[in-house]
Amino acid sequence: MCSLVINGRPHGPDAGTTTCQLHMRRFKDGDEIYVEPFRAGAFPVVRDLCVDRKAFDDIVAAGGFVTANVGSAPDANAVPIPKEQADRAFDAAACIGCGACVAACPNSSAMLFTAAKVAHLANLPQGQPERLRRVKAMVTAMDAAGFGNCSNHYECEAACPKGISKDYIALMNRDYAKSVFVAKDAKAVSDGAG
Amino acid sequence: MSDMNLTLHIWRQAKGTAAGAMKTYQVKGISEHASFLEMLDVLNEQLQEKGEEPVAFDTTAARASAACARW
Repeated sequence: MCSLVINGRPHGPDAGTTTCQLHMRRFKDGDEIYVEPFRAGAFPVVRDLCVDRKAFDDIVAAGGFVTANVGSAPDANAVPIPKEQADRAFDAAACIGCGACVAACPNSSAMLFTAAKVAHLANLPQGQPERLRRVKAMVTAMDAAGFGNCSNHYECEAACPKGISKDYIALMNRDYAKSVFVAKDAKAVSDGAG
Repeated sequence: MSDMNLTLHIWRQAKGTAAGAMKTYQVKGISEHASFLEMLDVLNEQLQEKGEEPVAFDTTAARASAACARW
């Protein structure tokens, strides 16, 4: 998957466009074009313009799934999901994991990516049983990979070729806060406190 | 529009632990209908003809189904 910073912008000058959909008609004869790899500590350069995005795989492996014995494929409408909720889940699922959000962020934060993966399942009934465990595991994996934290620049949203909304970061932060309190409650109960 | 002549400043780094630097190249006769990655292919052909190492870049999705753009 393309991972180029073109003239200082991940995926180049066009909004909502990946490098592989960028065409030369966007440039003029005699132009100077600067091409760099995605820059982030968690995305080490492999060679020239190639970077290693294994850190994203680690985040998804930590919780980007539903643990369920699903059996055969269920009826399409067996689990009713309100249209607005399905749309929110689909918008989050549109994330292609390119890493432009990380490359655009001054903190090299992966919060938009992680939030998209968290929100995809948090907006579906299938994702509810493991919702808090998932967000905690994915945020922990994100921190362990060396990504920075969000400081509300929103460069990620501007650079994202799929238009993932920064609002999902707020959802992830709310869920993460809940997961911390739930863990504290569980510990208090096991310790015999009120 | 006629074909374009461009100056490219590209990050070259032999491997992860090596020091990298921007290197300047000239490419000529690029069609406005070419994709950006095809333009890099033209550069790589020029480099290989001169016996230089081509620029490494990821193209998996673009060459397969462009899933990242069309999904």
